[in-house]
Amino acid sequence: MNRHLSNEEISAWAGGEVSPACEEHARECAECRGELERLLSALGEFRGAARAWSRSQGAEAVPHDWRPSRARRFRSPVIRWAAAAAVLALATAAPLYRNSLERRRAAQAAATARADTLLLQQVDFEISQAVPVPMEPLVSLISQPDSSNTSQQGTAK
Amino acid sequence: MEQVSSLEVPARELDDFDAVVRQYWPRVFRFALVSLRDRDAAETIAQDCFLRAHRARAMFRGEAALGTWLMRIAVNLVRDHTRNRRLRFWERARQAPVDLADAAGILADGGASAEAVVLQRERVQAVWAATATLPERQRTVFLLRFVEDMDLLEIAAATGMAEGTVKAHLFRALQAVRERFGERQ
Repeated sequence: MNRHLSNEEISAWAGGEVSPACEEHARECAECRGELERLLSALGEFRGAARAWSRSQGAEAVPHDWRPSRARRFRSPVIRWAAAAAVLALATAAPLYRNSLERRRAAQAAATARADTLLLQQVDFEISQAVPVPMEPLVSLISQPDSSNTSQQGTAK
Repeated sequence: MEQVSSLEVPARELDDFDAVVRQYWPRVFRFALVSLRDRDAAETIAQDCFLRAHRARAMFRGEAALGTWLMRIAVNLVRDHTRNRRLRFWERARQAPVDLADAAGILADGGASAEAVVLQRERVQAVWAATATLPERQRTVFLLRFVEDMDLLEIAAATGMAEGTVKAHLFRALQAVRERFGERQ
């Protein structure tokens, strides 16, 4: 092959595809060989630099607490924000819930107190009666003749 | 090459998942890091990758090498991350991604002379700059080939592209890199 290597042939070579004709030309052509060497050398340096940079960013250090069940715990920003929103919602809702619970308990206590007062009033009333309420008509019947007798006795005297 | 064939890592060895994570974490993290240039995002993607692999480990039959299977998950996650516009807001709000100059300034320790180091740094910067401007698929193929040292068939398996498509993307990416060299020289 007399002509220089084309751009496509040089790229194909760097990508791993080398034809025998290209190889033969590169052996004889210092210009094409130099072009290839520069490209391959730069790509090799890039690989080394990318790996060195990755190591400097902690690529070799697997997080110690990595476990499949615990992975991605709040790693994603969306989940982090969702978790923060949930915490905020809980923090806001908890006092409201507590207030509502306290109000409900207070109302319940007031109702119980009212019921107790009524019951006590009823008990007081029952106790204050000489005879039980259902027996009152009978007592009045019994007491009526007594009063007539008394009046008759008074008249006789 | 860190690639381990499926014959060397039978599917039952996925039961020792911690060992799998220890072995492949650097590679998955590195691919995500060089693709996104964001350390936090790279770590999140590495965690997601192994979480998904752990959930799907029963489905791994060893048709592809374990490393290729993991890289396929990582490639999909990086692609989703890049495309997911919903995350853009959060990305802006987070710490600024790693500066390209920082990445390009780091070279593999080769014990070269000061002059050689300057030239080497220029070449490496040119490649970093070229990859930054590549379309997503070209960049993925380029990084898998020239950082992860994967061959075309492995890249095809990891990206789900046909081998011919991988080749086309790789050559276009190399053209872009060579054009960037031309600008520097």
